[in-house]
Amino acid sequence: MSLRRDIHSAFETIAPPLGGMPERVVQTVLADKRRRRNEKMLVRLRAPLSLVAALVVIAVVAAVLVGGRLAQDWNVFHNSSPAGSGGTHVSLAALESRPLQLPQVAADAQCPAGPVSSTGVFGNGPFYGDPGLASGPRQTAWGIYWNLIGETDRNISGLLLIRAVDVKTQQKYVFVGQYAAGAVAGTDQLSGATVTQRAELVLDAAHQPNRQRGGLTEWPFVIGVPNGNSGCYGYQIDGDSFTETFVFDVNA
Amino acid sequence: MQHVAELSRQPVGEATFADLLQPLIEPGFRLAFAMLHDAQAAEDAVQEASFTAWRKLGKMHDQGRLRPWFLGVVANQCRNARRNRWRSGVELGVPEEVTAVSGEERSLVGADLRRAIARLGYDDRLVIALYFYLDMPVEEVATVAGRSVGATRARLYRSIKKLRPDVDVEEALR
Repeated sequence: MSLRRDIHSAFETIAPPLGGMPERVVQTVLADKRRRRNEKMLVRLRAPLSLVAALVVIAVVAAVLVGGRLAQDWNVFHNSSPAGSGGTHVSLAALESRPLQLPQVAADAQCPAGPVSSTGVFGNGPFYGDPGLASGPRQTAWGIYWNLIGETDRNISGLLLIRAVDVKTQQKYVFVGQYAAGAVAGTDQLSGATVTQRAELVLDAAHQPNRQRGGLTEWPFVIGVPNGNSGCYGYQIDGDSFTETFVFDVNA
Repeated sequence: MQHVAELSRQPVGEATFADLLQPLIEPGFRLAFAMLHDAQAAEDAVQEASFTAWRKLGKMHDQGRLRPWFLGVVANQCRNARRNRWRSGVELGVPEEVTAVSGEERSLVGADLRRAIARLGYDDRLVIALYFYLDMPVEEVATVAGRSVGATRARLYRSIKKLRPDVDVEEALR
């Protein structure tokens, strides 16, 4: 027996049949190749995917910011007050915070009346005081009440805050009835009725009275001056973009 | 099947690769089995060699020598496998002392021969397996072993003497 035949015999007696092994081996290689190719693609995509993720984050943040701004604008648009109302104008509190700019004069000094027009109307506008339209006075234990008519330009907007002070005695005058506002200064009996004295007069341009004369709107109101006043009335009118003052001398 | 000599150095498609590799699996497995004496280890070696073949097939300068090249890869896998897990005659299920040569107990005779081959060194075992079991000419054995034909022939002589000291080498080579 030759060595070659013996070796063949030695291995072939125990060698298992190949069966489908060749196909299995080849398919395993090809499957592994496809898996590696997919992994390679994933690796190649990893950097672009990171970039995409970063862009998505930026887009989301931008959308939140822009969306928030749009929502804010939408709310402002829908919740804002009608044109001419106080909502979009300087608030009453802001007007009240403005200091009085009225002059302070000694009791024996001349009342610094004015400014006054040639027709006797006080103030440079947009608020005017016409003493010719005053009526009364009504005397009470507390003081004197005058029925007055303030006039305003028709194109005013926002709120007009009116405060009145005696420029000699520094007494604060009060207002009663329509348009009276602000802190309560006290109460009084006027024409048989109890009235509340308030420190301010507030006119709302959005709700002007239907009283027009000479291109001006008339605002009737009642002012009370306490006993002991000097008759030198100082008015300060604060509006959106102006502060107006004038002094009226009842003794003139 | 596409002739390997027609292939140029370009990426090999899946179909072409399957056509080229599949006929080589059987001789590859026989070589690995002769080297490792373990069917599962032999299949693993062929599988690993096939992965290597896939990666390097497109880079071969002479794809006409694909068969010896692939068997060389298998042989290298077997060398690595034996380094990691030494296979001995014990795994063949044959007692060490059995030296029967009777014709009736062919499996035992085969076991004796297999054990003798297993005791050879890697290079001796390789040339024996390629020349006697795969029936390759010395020139092709030299290619697989990465040696010259002369060196391979000398290695073959020595291996035969180690395996069968009393055999006539020239007669055994026939």
